[in-house]
Amino acid sequence: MDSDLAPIVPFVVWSALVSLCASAGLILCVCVLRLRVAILKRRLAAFYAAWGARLRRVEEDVDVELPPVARWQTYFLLDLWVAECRGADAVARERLCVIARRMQLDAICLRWIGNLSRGGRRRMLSIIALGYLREPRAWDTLCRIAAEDDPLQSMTAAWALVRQDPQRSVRVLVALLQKRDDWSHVGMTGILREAGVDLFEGPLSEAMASGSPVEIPRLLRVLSALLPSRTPDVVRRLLASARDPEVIGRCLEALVSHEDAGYARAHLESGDYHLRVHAASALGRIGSEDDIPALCRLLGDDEWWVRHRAALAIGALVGFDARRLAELQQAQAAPRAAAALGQVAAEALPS
Amino acid sequence: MMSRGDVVFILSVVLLAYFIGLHLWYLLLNLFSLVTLYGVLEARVTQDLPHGWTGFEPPVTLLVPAYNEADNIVSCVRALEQLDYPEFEIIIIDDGSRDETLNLLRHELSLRPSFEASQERVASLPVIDVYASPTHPRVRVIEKENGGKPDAVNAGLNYARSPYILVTDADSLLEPHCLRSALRPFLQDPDTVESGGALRVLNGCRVAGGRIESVGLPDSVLATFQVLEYIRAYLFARMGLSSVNGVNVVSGAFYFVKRQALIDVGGTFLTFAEDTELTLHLHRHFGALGKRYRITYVPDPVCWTDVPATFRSFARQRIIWQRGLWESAARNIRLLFQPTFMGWIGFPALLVFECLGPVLEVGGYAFVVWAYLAGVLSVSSLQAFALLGIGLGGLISMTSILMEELSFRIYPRFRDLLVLSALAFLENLGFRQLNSVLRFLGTLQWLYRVAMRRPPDGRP
Repeated sequence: MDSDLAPIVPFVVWSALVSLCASAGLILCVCVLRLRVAILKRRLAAFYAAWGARLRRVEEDVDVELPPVARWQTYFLLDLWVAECRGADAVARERLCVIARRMQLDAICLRWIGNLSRGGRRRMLSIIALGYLREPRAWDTLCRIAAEDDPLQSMTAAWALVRQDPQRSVRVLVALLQKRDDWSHVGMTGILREAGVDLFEGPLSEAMASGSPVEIPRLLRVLSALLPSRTPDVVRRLLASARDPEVIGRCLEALVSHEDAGYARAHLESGDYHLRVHAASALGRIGSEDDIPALCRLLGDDEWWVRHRAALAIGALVGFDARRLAELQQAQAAPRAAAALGQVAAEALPS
Repeated sequence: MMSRGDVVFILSVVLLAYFIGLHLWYLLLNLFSLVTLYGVLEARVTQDLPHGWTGFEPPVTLLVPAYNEADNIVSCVRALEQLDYPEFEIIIIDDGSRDETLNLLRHELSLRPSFEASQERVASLPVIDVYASPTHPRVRVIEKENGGKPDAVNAGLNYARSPYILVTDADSLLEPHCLRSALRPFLQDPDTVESGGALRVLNGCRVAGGRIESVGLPDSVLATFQVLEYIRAYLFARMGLSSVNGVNVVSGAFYFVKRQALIDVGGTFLTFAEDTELTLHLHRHFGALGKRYRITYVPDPVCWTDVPATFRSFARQRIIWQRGLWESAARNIRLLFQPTFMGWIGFPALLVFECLGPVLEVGGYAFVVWAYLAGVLSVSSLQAFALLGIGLGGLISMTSILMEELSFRIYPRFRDLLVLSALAFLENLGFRQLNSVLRFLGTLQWLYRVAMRRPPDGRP
C-alpha cells in the first residue's frame, strides 16, 4: 500500500535532509555571530577608550602624535570624532578638524557620501562630518543629497550646507524648502537659525511672492519662527490678496498684533469652518473683550472645533476668570454652547 | 471512480503542497524582512543625530482601555507618564470594571469630575463620567458602560485631542522610547495610517520601577515556546509583510493610528480580534479609495507583554484569536477584489495559511494517523514526513533567530540563544500540533456562531 506514496517519499526525505542541514548551518552562523559580537564589543570598548582620550588631548593641543588607524576602525573613529565635535567649543572643534584633515578623514568622507552602496549609516556620518569639516569639495554632492527623497539624509545635508557656507546655502535651501513638504519645519527653522536669520528674509519673502498656495503656508511658518518681527508686514500683504483658505488660515495663525484683529473678525462668518476656527483662535490672542459677543455666536456653530476654539478664545479674553466664565456659560441658551464653555472652564480650572 | 490509492496520493500531494507552501511563504517573508532589516538598522543611527526628528514630533493621545485592571492600573499610569516624548495625553477608559480599577485611579490621581464636550466621532456605549486630575495634568479618565475593548477605544477616540492615537493595554510594559520609534513611520511617510511595534515576551524579564532591568527566557516551557513564536511569526514575518505594505495585523497591545483614519473607518469593531479587524478594515477602506497608504510595522522592541504560562489560559487565548481572525477575515472578504498586494497576495495568504491552516494541519495529522493505522503509510514514510516537518519548521525558526542575532540581540545570554535554537526544532514535536488543534477549535466555534447567525461578541 505504501507504494502509493512511493513517488513522494524520496522528495520528502531529500527536502527534510536539506532543511535540516541548512538549519544546522544557521545554528553555526548564530553561534559565530554571537562570538564575533562579543569580541568586537571588547575591541571597540578598548578602541573608544584609547581614541576618546587621544581626541580630548587634541582639543587641547593639535600637535599630539596619533597612531595610524586600521581600516576597520575608520568608521568608529569618525563616529567618535563626530561625537567629540558635537560637544566641543569652536576652538576645540577647529583643532579636531585640523587633525581630521591630517588623518585624511575628509577624503574618506568624500568617498563615502558618493558611494551609496556602502549604506546609509556611513553616508549619514560622512554628511555630518563634512558639515563640521566645512569641506568645500563636498558642496555639489551635498546639494544633490539635500534634494534626494530621504528626509533625514536630505535635512542633514541641508544642515551641512549651512555649516559650510551660510550665504551660499540660502538660495539652495529656500528653493528646496518651497518644494519639500516632508521636512520638519521646526527642524529646518533650527538649521536656518544656525545660518543667521537675516540672510533668509529677502529670499523667503521673494519665494512667498511667487509661491503656490501649498508652498506659502510652509514658508510663512518658517518665516514667523525665524523673523517674528518681520512677519506682520508679510502677513498683511498676503491677507490683502490671498483667496486660498489654506493661505488665509496660516496668515490668521501668524497674526500677533492687536492692530490686526480686524483681519480675524472679517473671517468669523466665513463659509469655510477651518477659517472660522482660525479666526476664533486669532481673536483669543489679539482680540479684545469687545469680541466676546461675536465669539459667543460661534459657540452655537455646527462644527465642534469652531465651538471649542471660540470657547478657548473667550476663556483667554476673560483671563480664564471662573466667575466670568460661569456667567457667560449661564447666559448661553444653546446647550452645546454652554457645554463648550463648560469644558474650557473645567480644563482651565481643574481644582 | 478513484481508487483508495488515488485518494491517498492526491491527499498526500495536497497536504505536502500546503506544508511546503506555508514554509516557503514564511521563508519569503523572512527574506523580505532581511532586506528591510538592513534599512531599519541603518535608520536607527539617525535617532542620535543633531538634526533628526527628535523633539519635533506631533502630539499624541494614548488610549488605555481598562477592564478589571486593579492590579496593574496604577503602575501602568506611572510608567506611561515617564515616557520619553515631548507632548502626549493619556486617556484611561474604564470599561465598566467590576473591581477597584476606578476607585484606585480616583484615589491615586485625585480625580475630579471634569466637564467635557466630547466630539461624537464614532459610536460607543454611553460614557458615565469624565475625570481630570489636578495633580497629573496629562491624564484623563473616562468611565463608561462595559462594551469590550473596541468600544472603549471608540469612546476614548471621541475625547482624544491629538492627530495620532496610540492604543495600548494596561498590562503592557512600554519602552521609554516607544512613542518616538512607532511614530517614526508617520513622520517619514505622511501616507502612513497605522503602525505597530514589536511585542516582546515579558515573562522571564526582571522589571523595576516600570522598566525592564534584564531580559531572560521564562521558566515555563509553554511561555518559552511563545518567545520563539513571537520572534518568528510576530516580528520578522510582519516585518517582511510591512516591506510590501501587506501587514495583516498590528497587535492590539500596541498600535499607532492616525486619528482621522480611525474615524474614517468608523472606529474599531467589536470582534475577538479587533486589531486584525482594524488593520484589514484600513486596508479595505484606503485600498478601495485608490489612495496611496501605508500600514507599517516597526521592529524595534517597544512593548513587553505577559504571555499565557498555563495551558488553560494559552488554550483560551488561541481559541479566541482564531475566532477573531475568522470574524475579521469574513468582514473584510471584499479585500480579495482589490488589485493591491494585500488584496491579491497578502489576504489570500492570510486565508489559506492562518484561517484555513489549522484545519489543513489537523486534517493532515488525522490523515497521517489514519494512513498509518490503515497500513497505507509505512513507518519509514511516517518518519520521512515527521523529519520534513521538523526540518522545515526548524529552518524557519532558525532564520528568524539568525535575524534576531543580526539585529536586536534581545536575549544577551549565550545559554538563552542555545535554548531558543533547540526549541526551534522541539516546537515541532508537540507545541505546533497543540497550537493547530486549539486554532481548529477556534475555527469550529466561529463556524458554530455563523451557523447560529449570532453576531460577533468581543466582550471579555
